[in-house]
Amino acid sequence: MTCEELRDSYELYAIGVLEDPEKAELERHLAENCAACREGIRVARQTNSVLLTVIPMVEPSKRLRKKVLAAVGMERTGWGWVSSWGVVTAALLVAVMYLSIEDRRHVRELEIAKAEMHSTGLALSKAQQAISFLNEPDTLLMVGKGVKMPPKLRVFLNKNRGVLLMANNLPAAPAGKIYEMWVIPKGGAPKPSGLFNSDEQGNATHILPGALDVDSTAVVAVTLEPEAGSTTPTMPIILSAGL
Amino acid sequence: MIIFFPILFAVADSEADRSLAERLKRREPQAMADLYDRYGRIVYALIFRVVRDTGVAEDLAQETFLRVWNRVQGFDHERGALGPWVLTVARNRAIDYLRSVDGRMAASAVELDTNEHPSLFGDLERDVLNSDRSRVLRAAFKKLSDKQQMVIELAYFEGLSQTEMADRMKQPLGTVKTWMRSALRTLRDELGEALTA
Repeated sequence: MTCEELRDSYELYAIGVLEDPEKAELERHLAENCAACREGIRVARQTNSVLLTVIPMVEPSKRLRKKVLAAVGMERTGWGWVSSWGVVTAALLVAVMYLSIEDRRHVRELEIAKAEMHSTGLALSKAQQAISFLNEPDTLLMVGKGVKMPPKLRVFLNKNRGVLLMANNLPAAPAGKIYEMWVIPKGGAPKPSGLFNSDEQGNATHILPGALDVDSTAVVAVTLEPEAGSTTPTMPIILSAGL
Repeated sequence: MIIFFPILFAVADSEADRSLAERLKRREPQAMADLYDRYGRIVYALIFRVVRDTGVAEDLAQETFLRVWNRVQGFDHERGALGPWVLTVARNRAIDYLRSVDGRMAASAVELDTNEHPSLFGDLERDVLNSDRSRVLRAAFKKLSDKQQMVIELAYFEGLSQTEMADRMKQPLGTVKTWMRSALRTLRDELGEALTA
């Protein structure tokens, strides 16, 4: 194909949806350092990026900013207004407020812990009922199909026990690939944290045993990697959970 | 027909973007907050446009900024266009999610990963994203027929190939290609005039 014939493929190539034979032809031109195609792709990237801004406006929630900054371990303090009051005044104010805030925080944490214990107790009770139900000799199995749901991820962190990952609706990794878990510390690089696959029902459980610095952990993520695993992520994050 | 509204995108100050990218590479504590303040709304709006779920959109926006943070060392802050790179990363996270839901994940993940490498955004015009161009493209988009608009939407906001579009729209592949070709020519020509103006 000539560059002129490939001209209408530049934008689709740049957003990753072009198919063969045009894709193979265009890649051949690019591999041969075709100046016209390289310039065409450059301009296409510009067109594409402008097109991505022509969308309806939707405001994110205020908590998103906090989550984003927490993910990289950098939460803004928001104390810029203090300078007008004077650092000393602010420090006194902080000192007075600190004890009361800490006190309230501890009470709140206690309430959360109680609620979690209650909820865990209910879950345990339900699980015991389910096991008892399944163990009944007269129980019959019916298999159904529902609406396909997106993958879900739950991650539990424990400073003594490590990381427990539980995923649902996760399709089995394709041949030659496997899921890899990554523990990403605040402001640090992802650490390889074990390989796993999902079962026929799309469920997966994976444990990274050992002590864990929970406070410095920002995100636990999952990628699809070659079946031998990788030391750094080579594929996009499929699932992630942050504190 | 889906109506588009342009986001008034105040990124004409390319020098500020260059400085921001440099500060991100130096891991300055305030740089990530500034990046979010500059691109948080558009990133979220773009992802929401694709996934249509506020919770998922927030998770993917977080993932977008984390990915930019982790890969910014490969970005050429002297020559690169930060906005287009951030938007591409955001769009890819959203498309990747859609494809994983549709079971199209494995085949396309590499494709998306390669088209968002920071080095690919090293020679774009820095102020390519500004509200004027967004307005030009919106006007051009409105000139397209319903079918032309649909194929553009399916490619950019659902990540479908032309074969997948033909299947979805129950139309011959050649017809879909014709709609796509004519739509892109219109958008390219209109925007090209604005870019060179």
